Amino acid sequence: MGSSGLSSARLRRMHDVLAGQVDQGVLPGLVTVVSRHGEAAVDAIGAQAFGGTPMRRDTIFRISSMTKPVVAAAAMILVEECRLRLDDPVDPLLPELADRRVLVSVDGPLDDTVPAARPITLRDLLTFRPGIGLLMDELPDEPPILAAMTERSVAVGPPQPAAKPGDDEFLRRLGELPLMFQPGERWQYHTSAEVLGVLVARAAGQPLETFLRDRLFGPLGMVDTAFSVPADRIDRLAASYLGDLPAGDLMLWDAPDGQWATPPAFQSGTDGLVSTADDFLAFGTMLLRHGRHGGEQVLSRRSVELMTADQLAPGQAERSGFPDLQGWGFGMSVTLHRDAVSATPGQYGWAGGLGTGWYSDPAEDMVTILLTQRAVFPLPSPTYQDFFTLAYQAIDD
Amino acid sequence: MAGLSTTRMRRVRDALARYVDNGTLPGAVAVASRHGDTHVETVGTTELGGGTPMREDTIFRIASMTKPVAAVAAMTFVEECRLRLDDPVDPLLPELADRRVLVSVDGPLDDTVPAARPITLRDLLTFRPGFGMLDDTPVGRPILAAARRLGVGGGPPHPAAMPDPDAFLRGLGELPLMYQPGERWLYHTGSDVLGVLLERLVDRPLDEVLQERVFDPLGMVDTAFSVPADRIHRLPPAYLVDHETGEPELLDHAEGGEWASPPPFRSAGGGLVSTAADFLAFGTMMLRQGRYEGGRVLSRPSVRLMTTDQLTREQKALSGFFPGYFDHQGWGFGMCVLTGRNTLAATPGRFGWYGGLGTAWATDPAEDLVAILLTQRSEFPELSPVHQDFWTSVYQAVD
Repeated sequence: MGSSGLSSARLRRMHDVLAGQVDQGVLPGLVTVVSRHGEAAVDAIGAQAFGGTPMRRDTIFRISSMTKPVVAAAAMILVEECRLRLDDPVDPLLPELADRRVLVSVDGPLDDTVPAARPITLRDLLTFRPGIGLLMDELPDEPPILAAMTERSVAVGPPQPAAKPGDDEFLRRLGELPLMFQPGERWQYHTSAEVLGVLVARAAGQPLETFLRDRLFGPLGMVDTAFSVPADRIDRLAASYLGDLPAGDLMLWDAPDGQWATPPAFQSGTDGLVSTADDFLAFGTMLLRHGRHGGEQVLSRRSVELMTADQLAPGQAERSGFPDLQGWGFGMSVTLHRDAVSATPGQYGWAGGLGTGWYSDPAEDMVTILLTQRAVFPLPSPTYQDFFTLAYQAIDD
Repeated sequence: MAGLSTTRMRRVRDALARYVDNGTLPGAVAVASRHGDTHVETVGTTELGGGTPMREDTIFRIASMTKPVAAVAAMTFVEECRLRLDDPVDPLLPELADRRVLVSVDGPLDDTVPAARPITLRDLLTFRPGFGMLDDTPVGRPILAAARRLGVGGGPPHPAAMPDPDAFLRGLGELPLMYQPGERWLYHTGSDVLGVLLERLVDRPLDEVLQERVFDPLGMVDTAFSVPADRIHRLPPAYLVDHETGEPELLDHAEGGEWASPPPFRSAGGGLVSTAADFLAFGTMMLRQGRYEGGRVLSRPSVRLMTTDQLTREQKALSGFFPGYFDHQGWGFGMCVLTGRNTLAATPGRFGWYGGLGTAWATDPAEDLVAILLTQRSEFPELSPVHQDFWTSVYQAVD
């Protein structure tokens, strides 16, 4: 046990279990990070693709929904400068979303609506309560609103950056649709962070990626985090796989020369980024250090505390349709209950559906990151389930 | 700093001696250990009206104190990712796949609906698999009659009378669940099923699993599912208190009794025997959050998880041995966790459990205290004056 307070024997157990899953063909490879008291153990196992080159510490991964907390942090930078306010309507910057109408019934016809009780605010976007997003309700038939979203390519689904229209067009299409629920009423996944990305870009007067680079990635040294991978680094991008039901085999979802090989028209704040172990460790550590990185305060401690505090009203987590959701801050989950080996109240972070996960844990002074490109849908990933257990069982103080 | 007043610790002995003197119990062994300073008291004898003096190494049937031990063993496999809390138990226990659930717990066995989901390891550890002990009022619940007939009911431990593990699972698999998996806390059966799950996981009997995972690391040399012939003289007889008369009746002879030979079913719900020193080692490992001299049985996060209340408010309102049972306590993994300060001995965060044949254990992180009471007089521990006086006496000695 070094100054990390982690057992080297138990870290070896982590390596052995995960390497065993690679050997069994569960996934081609992965990179893990367990950083405690500022001391990081990074492990690269297997290959970047089945039959591909060896996995490296600086292999690039599509972090999909781990984009959400990054864009939330970017929005908070603008809040601290009073260029955005949490409870201001988004309408001046996003006029496409002004004067919303709301479906009387979520599975009703699109023209059966009432006026929204109030405008959508930045707070709604950060806490995933703008009134539109992934619909988890069990309904007998596909509701017209979902068909309309699909028709306009603004539906919720796996990240497909090349298939999305640009910012203005995305928002124009979304603005044609009524909301599913009143603003603030429900926690709904996905769409709010797409809208947030456009809001940040318009507020900053720059493309989202440029603003992120200037204010977050640059200061944090996140040199490989972006919405696409340049040609001279494409050899470091892992291949992306997901389960092919019902056979249960893995199929290639996106090859290195696929959807992330060229800059996308839409820089998706919900699922667009690629990143590396060291890049995301810098982000997770900055939050753990209450906004500090090196000598610089990227965000104030007060902002980080706000972002990582549960913001949901009673019952909203339970009605989210996400059975494991306990609390939600700004763009990330907050653990409220100790119900797993790896669950610490006050811990925050989020997962990426293409096979990644991150948590920062103030009580344990720990950052844990899993990077794979074996999706957690439609089949659950044993690696995702096991990594966090293995990281936490290695705690030895 | 000793942390326990020597003068006041005498009251522990005095309190227990009163029950020996008035014939309530033949004897007892009591342990209180605070800040590592351990007091062991032995009072009385092994048998009512005779026997030999109680000794520090007297062996006791610890009954349901087996439950937390088995839960610890299970968590060692969770840490290795050989088990996962939310995985269905079906692959290892196919007898319990595709459960059906009684429409009404009082209803006929064929009036069922499909289970909403499979039973998971978490259900077994938190006693929410949908099957367990129920009181038999209204009298004659068909599910309880069937459970008794198949040898999968609750009640005082009778290791020799149990079916073997496969027959146990087969019997349980023939019955519908009483409630949906996860719906409410139901005592006991989850632990027995957990024991079989562990046996099948490693394809070894539970005694070997516990030996490797818990007893050997902690030096628990006398903890086992039976007592070998060369130690049987250290096992006292067990008494069951007659509900009607309040008089103790002999439940189990030591020699030739139910713990004198290896049982067909190694019950994780109630099968173990142990000693003061052995269980103190277990309770101290839990106090030290998984650590023991020379290593670690479990990580601190696992111990914290096991000793955190896992029941919801709604489940507590529906569950328990009597109304209000969970007002000041909850349930972790295989053990009780106190949530309120409603008696002199209650500290929020204190955890432990009892054995229905007359034993009790608690570890109290806030007080840095482990306390154990060992008797072989069976009664409901939380309602027993013997137990209540023991806990009051130990905690008033905190100095």
